[in-house]
Amino acid sequence: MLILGVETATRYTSVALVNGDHVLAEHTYSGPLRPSQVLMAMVDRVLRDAGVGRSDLQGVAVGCGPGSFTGLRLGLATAQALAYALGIPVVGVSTLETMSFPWLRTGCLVVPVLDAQRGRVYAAGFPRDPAGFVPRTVEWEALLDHLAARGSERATAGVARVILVGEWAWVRREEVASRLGEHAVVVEPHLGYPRAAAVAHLGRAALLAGSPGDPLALRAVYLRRSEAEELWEKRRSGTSSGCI
Amino acid sequence: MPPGRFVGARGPGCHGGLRALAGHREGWWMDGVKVLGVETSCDETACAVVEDGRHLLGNVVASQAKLHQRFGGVVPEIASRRHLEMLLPVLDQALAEAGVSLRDIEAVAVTPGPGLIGALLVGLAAAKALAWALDVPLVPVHHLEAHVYAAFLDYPHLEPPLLALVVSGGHTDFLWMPSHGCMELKGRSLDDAAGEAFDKVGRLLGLPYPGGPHVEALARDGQPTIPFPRAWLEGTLDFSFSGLKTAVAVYLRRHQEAYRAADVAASFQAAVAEVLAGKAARACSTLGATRLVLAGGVAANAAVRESVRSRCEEAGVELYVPRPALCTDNAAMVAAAGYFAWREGRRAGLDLNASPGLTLEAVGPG
Ligand SMILES: [Zn+2]
Repeated sequence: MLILGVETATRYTSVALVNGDHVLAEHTYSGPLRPSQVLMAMVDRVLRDAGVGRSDLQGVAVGCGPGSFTGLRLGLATAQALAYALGIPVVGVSTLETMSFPWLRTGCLVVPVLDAQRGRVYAAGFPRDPAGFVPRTVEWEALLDHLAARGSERATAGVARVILVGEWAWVRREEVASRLGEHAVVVEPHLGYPRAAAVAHLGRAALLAGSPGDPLALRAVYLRRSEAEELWEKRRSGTSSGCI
Repeated sequence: MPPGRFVGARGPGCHGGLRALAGHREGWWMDGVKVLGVETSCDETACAVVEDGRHLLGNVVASQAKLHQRFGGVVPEIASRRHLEMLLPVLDQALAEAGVSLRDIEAVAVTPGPGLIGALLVGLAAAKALAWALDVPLVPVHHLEAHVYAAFLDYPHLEPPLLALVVSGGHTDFLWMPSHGCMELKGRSLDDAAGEAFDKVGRLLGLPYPGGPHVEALARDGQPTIPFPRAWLEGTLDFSFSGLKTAVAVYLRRHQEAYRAADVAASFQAAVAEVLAGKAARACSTLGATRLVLAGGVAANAAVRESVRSRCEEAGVELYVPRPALCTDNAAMVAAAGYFAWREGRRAGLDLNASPGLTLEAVGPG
């Protein structure tokens, strides 16, 4: 199955063409041009590189979040329109799951971390965290507390260590070391960004598992409302300090 | 090709369009060319199919006005999210309404600006992907240019040269159009756009967002008895509406509860209509225009239309006003403008980016 993977949730714009377990072409960009300028040219390029025609594509997989709101919309609008026009299925793949993908078979708890603004992060535990940590928006401090407090619970379940993935954790790796010690490892950023090849692999698995892939039904996973809505809710419930 | 530049804005590029088409069609080269238009510059998600730049086949607009009402204005993040959710359903419906399949589409026209950056990006990303997947040209259309072309859908024999007055929430602009694919900005609002003034006065009067239609409805029960100021900015074709808005605010403050809101609305509306009509007549005589297109959301206001109509009659100027549904933001006008730009050879590369402050010159018609 020939799948196009598209990933734009972080500052890395990544596109890949995957056939079965084989990556035919992959291109990742994080330079000065805007993602919206480079994405379609990258799609065009991976097909040319692989010598594949657009009508040969059998499915599209796209990183559906969480991540940069604008980035998610760029990837989804592109992937959905491609799938709609080519008459092929499109599936959304969690950005956090994509980041954890290379480390899933290590026997460790993999915790991908993305910036969610104002000291908060999007994070999750993979494979399913025995201590019950599902994708959510959380204070960075609270995430460290959680990981520090539930270590023994995980050890009992046979999980030796925690692998933190993503630039956010890398920048704060000393903080991680002082809070979690040997229990935690932080992965270098160049190994930790969400790659389109992983998106395509996960998307292919979803399609083989029977996901219908309806382009009109796909939704972005923001995990956060707009600031205007958060502010409006606060004002209405009377707990606002006036402004944010 | 340097990023952000367009290929063949005019001139020799024209032949590229001719040749491209000769490949798949016999006989009349401009017969039955279906252009898909995509528009997401503010709070309307819109797709349309137009044939030969004149015949509206399918036109669907999903308005978000209700979604933004409680915030008293368009919230960009909420607008962008809704655009993404609505774009494919709106496209699907527009194609069904037109009775065509995507395979019948020969060019995709899209607005890269001006507008809200996050909102523009959704429509642009989808349009680029559609054009690439269908292997047809991508044609960039300036939002103001699109508003002018709305008139070509309702007046099949209309041709340039003409003068256009585009009046909306974001613009109050005079555009001189000597020929297809060419537009020149001749005057603009130096502060608030006319539609913005309507929205602000609506808010002052406690009316829900968007203020324009509510002010118009309220004005129907009032008399234009209050002499609000008219800024004529003599010697220029520019506008200013912030003084008028301030005058309304001062009047309301001074009279506290003792005013008739309907009279305030009617008086404010009369002031706007008189300035628009007077300046339009003056612009036609200055530029020697015999045809005037009145377009943009505020052109849907009956008092404004009537005022401009009577001044044009006096001045012997032919007036063209699209039906209200084509005055407010829609994609039919984008597809219409896109067809004529496509004929002139205007194309965008896959690196086309959204530009909130896009100038006419950057797209090609300027
Ligand atoms: Zn507009």
